[in-house]
Amino acid sequence: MSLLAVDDLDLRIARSGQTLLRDVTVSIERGSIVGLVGESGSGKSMFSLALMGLLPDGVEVSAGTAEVAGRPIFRGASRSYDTAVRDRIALVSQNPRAALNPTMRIGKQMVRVLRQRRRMGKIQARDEARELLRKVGISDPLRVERAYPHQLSGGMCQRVVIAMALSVQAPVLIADEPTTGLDVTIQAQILLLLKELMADGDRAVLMVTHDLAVVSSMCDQVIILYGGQVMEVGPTQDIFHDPVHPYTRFLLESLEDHVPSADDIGDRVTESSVDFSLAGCRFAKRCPFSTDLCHREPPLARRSGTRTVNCHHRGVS
Amino acid sequence: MTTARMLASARPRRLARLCGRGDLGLRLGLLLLAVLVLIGLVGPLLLPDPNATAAGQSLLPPGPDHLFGTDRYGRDLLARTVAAIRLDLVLGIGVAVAAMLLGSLLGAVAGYLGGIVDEVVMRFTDALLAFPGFVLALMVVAFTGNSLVFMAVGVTIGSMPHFIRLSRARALSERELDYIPASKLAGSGSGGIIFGHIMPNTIGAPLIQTTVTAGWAILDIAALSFLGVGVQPPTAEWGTMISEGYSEILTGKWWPAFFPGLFMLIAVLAFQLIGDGLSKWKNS
Repeated sequence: MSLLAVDDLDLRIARSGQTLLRDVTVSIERGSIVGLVGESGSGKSMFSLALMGLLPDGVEVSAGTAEVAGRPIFRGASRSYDTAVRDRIALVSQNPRAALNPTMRIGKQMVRVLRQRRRMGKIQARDEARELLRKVGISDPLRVERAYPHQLSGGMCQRVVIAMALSVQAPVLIADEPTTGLDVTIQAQILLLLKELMADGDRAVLMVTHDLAVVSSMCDQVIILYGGQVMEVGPTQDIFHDPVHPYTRFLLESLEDHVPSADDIGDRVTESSVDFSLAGCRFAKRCPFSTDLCHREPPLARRSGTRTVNCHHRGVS
Repeated sequence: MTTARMLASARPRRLARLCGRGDLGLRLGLLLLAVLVLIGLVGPLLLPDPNATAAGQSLLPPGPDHLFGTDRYGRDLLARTVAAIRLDLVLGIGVAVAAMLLGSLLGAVAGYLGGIVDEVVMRFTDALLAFPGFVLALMVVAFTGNSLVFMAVGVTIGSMPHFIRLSRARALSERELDYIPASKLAGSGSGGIIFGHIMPNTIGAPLIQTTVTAGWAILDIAALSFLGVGVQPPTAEWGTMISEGYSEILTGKWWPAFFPGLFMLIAVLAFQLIGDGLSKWKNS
């Protein structure tokens, strides 16, 4: 059963009618980690904001359905956000320092969440908070719970944020670039920790990132997003070894350890910013293989086994 | 030493550093205020009744019996000026704190909620700002009745706009930080977020503004009392004392108006210096 199932979700700016996300379909099974990859402005953050009901003013869900643990997220004709689903979603955000209230001690912040979400008493919540801090690898929870965020290192703050995300026991965890603000050694520790914590397989994790290295080490599945449109979906191994969509190929060729070969397309991809009012494929302007059809009509999803490619010309063989 | 204990000892040390090695203005301001408060607390116990009149002793110049001289009714000016410290400081600080609490709350609510609430609160603030606080207080008293309480309310309302603007501006930037959506996701309502997160994080600037406002409030209160609004004679208050004494200046008897004016100056100066010093310290 999919814990998170999003079907043909469209987001648009209400005033101008531009579509920010088009036909985004995501499905995450219990126990799996799915990477949502895309460059800046590809709409990956908008997507996670939509799931949390935190879209900025003027951006609305214009089509599609979404369910988290079997409960619809958007209700009614206006597709308004149902705040009741918030207890099924937890967030680990990009900047751990900004994710904690600078004027409140760590312990108090955690207790607040536990009391709100799990209806715990004060003492019970305090004990649970210590237990959670231990679980995320903090060896002296008594010190940390008395500290303010500015007294902890970035890595420690991120551990606290992860502990808080775990504390609500939500079936779906959204990790929005969880390691971007940390230095490399800490990144590895945090990723390892996340992987360990998710090993029990009770949750579905959506890992939003632009870091392909993180994806390849963490995720079972990858969704490649460009210009608000899904380009390619598939198991991580398959996508990395045999990219089908021109954009995916271009993306992988940009990696440092890519071995140049004769059929590289990198040199032939042109530079152009994303045009959100375009009718056709969002990548058409840059794609070396694009035709009139690509500019005119949005590509349909071509499915084959575990993989999906949204391209007029390149199906999975 | 554990971090916890370091934390515990860091706080007084920080305060000591603030008072001891802080800039000269701040130290002078704190010193002036401390002296004023001390005189205000102890003085009335040692001095004669500020309202005791003495026939035949009117308008005595400053001398050994009456250090500040006496007024038209033979009342000791030192006793009256010192007795007024309590009233004026309590009123000034009370008004400033009330304006700070109400103004910051309104500003935080407006900044966090945005939309129509923000519009309404900010237009209301603009309307308030169109009048000088003093005139606004005069209007409140004119509409509600001439009493100390309504005067204090009037000055409070007149002092609020600055706090509203300050805390709204801070709330606007604060609500964009990740911990606000995270807290929403964790089930906090608007009230919980405003009181638990927005207010504690935006209160710094309004707190500093409070000291300066206390000075202004004392000036406003004295000015209103001078006009006969709010504090009424024979209550000892700097404004009313100046108003009783200023006509004597023409005949060369300067002391009935001079000493209350001097104390008022010291009080306002003290608050101004503290406010300046604190904002310098905060921005350094």
